[in-house]
Amino acid sequence: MRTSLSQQTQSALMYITSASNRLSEAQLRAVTGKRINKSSDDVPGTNSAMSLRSAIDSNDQYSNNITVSQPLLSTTMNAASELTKIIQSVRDVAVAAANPDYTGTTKDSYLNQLDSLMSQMVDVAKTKHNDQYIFSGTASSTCPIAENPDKDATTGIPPYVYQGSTSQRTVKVLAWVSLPVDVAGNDMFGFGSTNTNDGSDVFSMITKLKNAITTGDTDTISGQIANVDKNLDNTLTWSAKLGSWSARMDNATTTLDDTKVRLQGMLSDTEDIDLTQAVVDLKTQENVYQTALSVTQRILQMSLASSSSSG
Amino acid sequence: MSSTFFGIDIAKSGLAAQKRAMDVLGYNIANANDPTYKRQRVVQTEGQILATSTESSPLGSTAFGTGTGSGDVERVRDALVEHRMNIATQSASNWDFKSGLTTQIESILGEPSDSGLQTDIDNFWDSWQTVATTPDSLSNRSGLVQDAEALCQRMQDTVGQLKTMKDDLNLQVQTKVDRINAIGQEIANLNNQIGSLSSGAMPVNDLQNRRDALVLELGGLVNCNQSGDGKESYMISIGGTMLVQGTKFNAIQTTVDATTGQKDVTWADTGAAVQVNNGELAGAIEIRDQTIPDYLKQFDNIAVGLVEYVNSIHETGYDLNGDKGVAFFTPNDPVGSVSAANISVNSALISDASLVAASGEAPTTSSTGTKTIAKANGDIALKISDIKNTLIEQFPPKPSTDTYQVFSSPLTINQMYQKLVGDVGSSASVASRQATAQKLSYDQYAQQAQSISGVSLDEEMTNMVKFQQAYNSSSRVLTTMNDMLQTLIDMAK
Repeated sequence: MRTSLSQQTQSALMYITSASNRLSEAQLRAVTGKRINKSSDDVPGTNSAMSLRSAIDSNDQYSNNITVSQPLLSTTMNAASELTKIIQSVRDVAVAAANPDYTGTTKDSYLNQLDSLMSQMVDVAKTKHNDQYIFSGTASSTCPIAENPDKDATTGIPPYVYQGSTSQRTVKVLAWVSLPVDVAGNDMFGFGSTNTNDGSDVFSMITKLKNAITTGDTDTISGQIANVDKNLDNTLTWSAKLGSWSARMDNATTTLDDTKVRLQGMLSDTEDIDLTQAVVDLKTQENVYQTALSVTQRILQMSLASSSSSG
Repeated sequence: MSSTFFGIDIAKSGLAAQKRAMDVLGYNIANANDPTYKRQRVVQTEGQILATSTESSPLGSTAFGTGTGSGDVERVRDALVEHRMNIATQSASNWDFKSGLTTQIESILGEPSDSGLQTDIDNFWDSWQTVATTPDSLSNRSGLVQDAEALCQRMQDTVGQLKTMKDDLNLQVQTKVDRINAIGQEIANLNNQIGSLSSGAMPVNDLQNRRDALVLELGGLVNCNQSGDGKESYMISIGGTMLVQGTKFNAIQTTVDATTGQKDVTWADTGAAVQVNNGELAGAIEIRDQTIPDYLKQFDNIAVGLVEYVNSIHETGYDLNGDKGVAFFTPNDPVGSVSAANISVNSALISDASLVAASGEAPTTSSTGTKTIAKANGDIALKISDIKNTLIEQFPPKPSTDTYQVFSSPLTINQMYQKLVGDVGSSASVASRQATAQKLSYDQYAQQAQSISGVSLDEEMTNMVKFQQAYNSSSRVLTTMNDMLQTLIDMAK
């Protein structure tokens, strides 16, 4: 088969160009560290990579949610334990006052103690976290309790109303799990799950005790201890629940961390190159390219014209 | 016995023939680097045979050769191989052109990456979750609105770039049609010139070379079929209709479609559509009319999906002021008016982020008269962030039954975008592979044609030696004849 000059140069150019293309592709892979640099490099791989990225993103968001919510949960737990201590103190006063042997000055001191405990309890109710009330449920900028304008004229019960929301704040920690991060004030302070203001709340509890101490009837005072116990149980129950939610959040964090490691491993398998292989590939392509160049140079120089003499 | 100077005439014819051959050889070498040049050679013929006159000889009548004549200068070529080459270039150019365009589209989308539209969409869902986790924070809502704006901006930009590409292709159709017309006209003129010159002359060969080169270029632009040779029988047709017939040339033109604003290719005389199915022109038309509009439609579905699904949930929520949620995305009336090119966040939300309706709880008024706004309720925000995992089944979303679009195999918004990226990627990889394969096929024919018609310097060099020696020998014959005649003349002194 004849070869013409033009054909030789065309072929040489073609092979050099294709060697150069492969070289630049190998370079790109080695430099970016990625096997897939554009969608057409590997279409199903790109699809996998994109959905893995999306899953990792969701995972990160849940971790973020937990990080943001845990402080609120801690604050609430602290406030709950504070409330427990206050009610415990109320109980101590009630037990002491139920003792029939007390003088007039002791009665006043009990009443003063109860007043101070009441105002402490009000302060706990108005606890804020990041400038938002923690015991108003979802109505976090509304003060949870206010003085009751409709309280009974003689007994003063109920002294406060709950004006927050009865719904808890929740946060999504895993794709299938939402955890509460607070306790609505009506539940915590005994206003009832539907906020029926019937005097069973902790503030009414203190007022009732004060009224009993003022009359001086020890039987009535003894009866109030049962009421205090009821409210104490309520607080302890909610404290326990808060503790369990916190533990579940920690579990969720562990799950999320494990999932993230797994997902990133899968993403790397899909997208990243084996560095050793990439470098070897690059070296090979370089050699091929250089060989092509030098061989072409040699061949194209040979020609009868340069070796034939005239005449 | 022949005439006295007969021998000299024979030698002279030999000299002339070798000289002519050298001229043609010189011409070949001068044009060695022109890829469209087909080497020429002189067809050396025997001179006319003369029968003897009345001489009687023991062998009967004798024939005398009169030397050599040089006939036509012919081009060395194989018409069949060239025909195959022309057909191969049509597919090769088509796929190569489409490969360039699909790679461009791929780089417009720029996936997979950490900063593409996929990331913007995921950030959008994440922002809703952040709002749901701490709904009473105004700064979270501002962040959400900004992420939503970034998402809209990105969609508009991407779609805008695709539309610009589409418009550019429209102009390119015009440019290619103009070039096709110019080629057709020039071929018709060449036919005229070729027909009026006598064949076998070197200028004719050059004109034919030029004509072949033009036909090859035309094949790269559009599917064409060339048949015949010479002046009147030379024909080029596109899709069955004649573009060039001998010296006649039928122009093609572009007519603008009134509804779409696109240029269609038609015949100038009849107005019928040109059957374009290969070459770069077909590639441009296919990408302009099918590929890009399909991608734009997919983008629109994603945009409408976002608007419909987010708005329908957002409007059932309550904002930080306790009011019912307004539309999150505008325009709010998606039927036909929302597209990926105009999706945008409600300007009321941009100026006041507290209007983001994240709460699912209506405000209540307590017994003391205080309005209680459930600012820390993020149920609606959570629902919206969950659209990430919701299959987009119909517009408007369930439970509405008055649908204007239903999807037979529903996907989530993320999956819809992934499918789009996959489509772009596979069309780019298919085009790239086909371009390489078709180019190989074309190169094979091109190589074959070059092998037959290309100038080989080595061959010309050896021929040069050949002609030179033949010339020297003929001149030796001439000299010897001269001496012999001299002897004859000296005889009579």
